[in-house]
Amino acid sequence: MTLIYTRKVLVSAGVQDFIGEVTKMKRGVSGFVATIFCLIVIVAFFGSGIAAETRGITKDQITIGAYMAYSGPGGGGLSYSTAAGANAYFSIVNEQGGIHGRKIKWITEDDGYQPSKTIAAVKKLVEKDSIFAIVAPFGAPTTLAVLPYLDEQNIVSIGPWSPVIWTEVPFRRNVFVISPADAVQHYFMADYFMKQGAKRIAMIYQAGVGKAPLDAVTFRLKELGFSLIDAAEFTPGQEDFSAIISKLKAANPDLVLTAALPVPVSLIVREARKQGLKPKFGFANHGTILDPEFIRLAGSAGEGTGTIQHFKDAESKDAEVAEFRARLKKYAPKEVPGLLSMHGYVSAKIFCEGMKKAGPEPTKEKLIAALESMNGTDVGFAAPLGFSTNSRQGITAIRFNRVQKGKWVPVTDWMPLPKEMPWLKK
Amino acid sequence: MFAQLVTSGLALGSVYALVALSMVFVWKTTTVLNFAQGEMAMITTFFAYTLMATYEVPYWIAFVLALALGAAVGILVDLLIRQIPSDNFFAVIALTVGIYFVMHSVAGLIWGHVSWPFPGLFSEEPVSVLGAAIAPIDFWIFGAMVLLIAALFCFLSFTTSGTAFRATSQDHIAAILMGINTKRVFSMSWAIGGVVGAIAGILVAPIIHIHVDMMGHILLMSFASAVLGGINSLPGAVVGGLLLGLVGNLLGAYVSTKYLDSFAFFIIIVILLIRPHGIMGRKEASRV
Repeated sequence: MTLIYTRKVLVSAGVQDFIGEVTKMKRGVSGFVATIFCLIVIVAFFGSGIAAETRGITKDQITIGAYMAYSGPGGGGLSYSTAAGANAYFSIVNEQGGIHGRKIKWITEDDGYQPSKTIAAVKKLVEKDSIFAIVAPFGAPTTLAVLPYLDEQNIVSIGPWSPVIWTEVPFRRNVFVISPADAVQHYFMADYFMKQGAKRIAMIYQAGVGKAPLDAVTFRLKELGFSLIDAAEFTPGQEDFSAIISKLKAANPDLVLTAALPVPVSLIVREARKQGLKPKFGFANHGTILDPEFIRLAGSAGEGTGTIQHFKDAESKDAEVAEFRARLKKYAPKEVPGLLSMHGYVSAKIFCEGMKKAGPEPTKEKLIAALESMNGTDVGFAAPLGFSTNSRQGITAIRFNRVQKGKWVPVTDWMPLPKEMPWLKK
Repeated sequence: MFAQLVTSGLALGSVYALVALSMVFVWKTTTVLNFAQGEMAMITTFFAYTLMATYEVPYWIAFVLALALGAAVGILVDLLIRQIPSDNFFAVIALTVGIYFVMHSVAGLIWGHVSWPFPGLFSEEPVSVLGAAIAPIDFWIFGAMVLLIAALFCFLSFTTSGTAFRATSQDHIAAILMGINTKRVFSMSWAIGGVVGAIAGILVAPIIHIHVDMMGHILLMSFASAVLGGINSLPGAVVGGLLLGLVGNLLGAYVSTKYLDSFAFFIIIVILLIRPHGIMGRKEASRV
């Protein structure tokens, strides 16, 4: 009995010792694991913050990127033109030694004008290519899709095209819009044409991104005691506008505003000609169609179509614009100078000017501060920039153009853009 | 407004009808549903465009050469499909889908993803007909479809090859037993399908511009037209296409332009619930 008891005690003591040893080990191991975990968290928290702030910056290179709609219904020509302009500027900067000794590497990804692909493309640019910023991306619905991710990752975006109202409202610290939002342009056009005497205004708009221009026009007309006589929505990629034009023709408008890209607007004006729809004040779209592509596609049916101009003419004799043409010819000889190539070029220029001001040790905060300090700067392609601590709108003045004899011709002087967006305050 | 809606709806429906016809033509003899039909039409249309724009070939010569290419592409696709056992239905469908994507990508590499204005043979300036402004191009598209259908009817009814086609589509085994070279009939069907698709592409390109995505929506509507009219009925494909074009246009204008395609497909669902084999399709029975 004693032996059994002793054995039990001994076994029990042994087990207890073993458990004790294991517990000590576990405590030790737990402590070790916990320490490692804390270190990982600290490094991830601070390390990613530090890395994210200068991600894309090495001692001899600045890596930036953009998503483009080279394929898909967005009109690949516009993206190619934007890329040609941006590449021309970056190439010259690199030839001249880069910015503070760093060459620029601009990576573009094709999202096919599909927002789901844009998200994947931007994630690849940020997480795999480690870009510092996004410069001159293309696409309104695609830009909207990635805004939350850009906010989350604190990515600066300069010059998204075409800019929609939601890149500015709510105020987005990271997104610097150069061209005025489509909705602002439509608000301006509604006001302009009402003063010209238009009374029966109809509108054709692309589903989704056309809603903000529709709201802006509806608001302005209501302020003036009028309303749209008809409004027709179409889906991106739609090719047949016969039903829409028939319906609008029956409404007898004296002006048709459109909120769309050059390809659908060209199809709209061609269908209008087929059906004999000739509004007194014609058709007018926001500035996206101020490009040779629209005239090429619309042909003679595009005569008289109007749009907003916010950059100087691509054929202007001003020194800066002449230099743009020369550089474009050097790096993209087949590209006809136009709105989108100029937009890409100006976006690249503004980014580079901002990076120069940010200094030899750039961070995103320094870039943002540098861009904000460019309030009132004349970059040579438009009115002085309007960036500031509470404004992300680059262009501050616009003028109206019409197609005359196969060319875009200004028909007004430069006029200030509305600074407020009253329809968003209702 | 109604007259314009009808003429533009019939013109659009004619394009759907032609592509649907080419799909049904191939289906009836080979029982292959060709999802690459639209891309075949796109490639031949681009070929015609390149001949005219780059090499300044006159329109009609480019047109004929494009049709020849359409026939050749059809035969090539037939040769590819013969590599798969004919009883493997899903593998054949997967192959045609694969051909769709390959053709789409190759076209993008060759011609880019930019839209181009396609030269039209017919004027887009409207003429007044009973007080309504109608574009001649719509009439000509409808007229071209009617002529093509008449030509196909004559081919099927009055030629030996047409008789062989009808026999093969009715009973493949019996046709072989009667000494018909069914492989030759298959190739002929694919060639004719390619030609008809090419005509559809060239007719519609001046209206919607030529670009690599031009036939995507048309293929969808044409497939729906074929199902609506009866997948085993050639006249049904035409009726389905015209109906879809017309009804879609009328509903879009009188109800809402927002849901143009949705209305059209809603009508299809209703008709198929009433007549599952389509408007002019017939239930196929086989002796057990």
